[in-house]
Amino acid sequence: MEDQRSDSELLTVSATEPGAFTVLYRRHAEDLLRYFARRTLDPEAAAELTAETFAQAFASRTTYRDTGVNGVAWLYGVARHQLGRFFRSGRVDRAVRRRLGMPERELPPADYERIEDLVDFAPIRDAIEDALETLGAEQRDALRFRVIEELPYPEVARRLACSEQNARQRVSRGLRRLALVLQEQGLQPAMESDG
Amino acid sequence: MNTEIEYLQQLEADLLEVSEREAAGLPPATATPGRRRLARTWAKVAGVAAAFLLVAAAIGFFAGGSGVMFEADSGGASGSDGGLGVAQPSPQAPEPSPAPPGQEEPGSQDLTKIIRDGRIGIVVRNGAFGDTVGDLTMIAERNTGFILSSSTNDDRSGTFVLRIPANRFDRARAEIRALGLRVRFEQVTGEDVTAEFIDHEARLRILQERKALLTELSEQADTTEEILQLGNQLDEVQLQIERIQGQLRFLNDQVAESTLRVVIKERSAPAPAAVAVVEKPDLGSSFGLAVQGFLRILSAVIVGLGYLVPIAALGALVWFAIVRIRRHRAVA
Repeated sequence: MEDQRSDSELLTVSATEPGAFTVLYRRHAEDLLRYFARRTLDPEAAAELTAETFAQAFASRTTYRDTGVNGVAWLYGVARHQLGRFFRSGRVDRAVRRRLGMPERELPPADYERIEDLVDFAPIRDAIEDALETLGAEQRDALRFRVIEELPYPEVARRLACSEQNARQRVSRGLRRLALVLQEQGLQPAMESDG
Repeated sequence: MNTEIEYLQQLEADLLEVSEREAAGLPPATATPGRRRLARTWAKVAGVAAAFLLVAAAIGFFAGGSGVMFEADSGGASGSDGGLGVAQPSPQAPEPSPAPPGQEEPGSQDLTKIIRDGRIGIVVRNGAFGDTVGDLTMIAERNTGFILSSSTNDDRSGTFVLRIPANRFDRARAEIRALGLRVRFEQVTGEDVTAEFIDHEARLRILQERKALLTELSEQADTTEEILQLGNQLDEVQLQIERIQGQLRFLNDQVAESTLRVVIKERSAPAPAAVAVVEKPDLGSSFGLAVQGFLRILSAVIVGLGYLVPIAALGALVWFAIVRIRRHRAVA
């Protein structure tokens, strides 16, 4: 049976009942992952940002005060902070997960495509094609096959003459670089408001 | 949880575990214990500080701040001039102008009972080693001195021991210094033997008076036994007189002529191995050298910090500016 408490109530209660936080997680994890994926275009970075955001929110939940604003806004405030740090430093912080004793997890191969599916590339496909020219040959080819021609990873790997895992990494890193290029050009695939 | 994304499922499990541990009042499963984390942090800080000091010491050393100057060793060569490889800081006394040939340096009378020795290392241009050795020989001859011993390495570097009359010592040093493109090190030491000299002279006077008395008594002796006894005493006094006269001659020679050790090295000649040889090593001198070494390293670190701190501050400013610019761009 689904928990009927609001996000704010869950956050408030989680201070004394940590298990309530996982309810909040189940409600918003995929949306938050989509939020990050659309902004970073990078499945690895999006997954890690999601993990670090929830870890940070868990560690700071006792500081949450219900002021009438939905608790999810507070969660996305934490997310925006993480995203800003990611764009400034080019890497995802792991400090809070480490402090909480959470294991470092690799993104399972199948998740690359599932997370890419969360990103709607159609509106920015032309911009991506232009931005591709700014990338190196390896990443450009990987992205062209995967994002423009929408080939499955086995085919991308075959054309790049590398393993599937390697192809995923090239696409992931290319997308991360692409997100930065698009951001510099003011062509972010998603704006803050549509999270 | 309604998602096909395995990563999110794993993350949920991780968060659940963290929640349960916290609810049970247990510490984080794999979190680094506070004390160990603190130790790691301190280890990092200590490592950075050690690296900083090491770099400072290196800079200080190359900047000459240690006062440690190793002179060239004539390894494998035929030279036989030993001595301390660790040079003392050169006394920076004003250099007297070289006296004209044949004319004694002013004030040299004051140094008659002081043994002066010196070391000087010069760097000459590549290919000029042979010519410089010729010039060095001429300097020795011009100052009525001579080369006592020499040793060379591949005709590119070498060590020469010169004996120079004390009253030409400073002039010869100035001329040798002018032979090089630059002076690598210079050291002058002076040993005051005046007291020793006076003591020997006094003992000599007493022995000579005793000899005169014994001679007089010997002439007045009547018996064979007295003659033999006085003769033995006279022989012994004569032996002591000759011994003291020998010591006085040696001191006079040492005072009259100074030893100047010259190390010549071509600019790109490989640096000879630095040596620190202690003459007649003993615990006292070893301890003294250890203290000196410590103080010189400390001195090098302090000098190096003088260079490094402003550079580090400038680097920090540049880094800070870059970070600010990047943030500004990110916000824009």
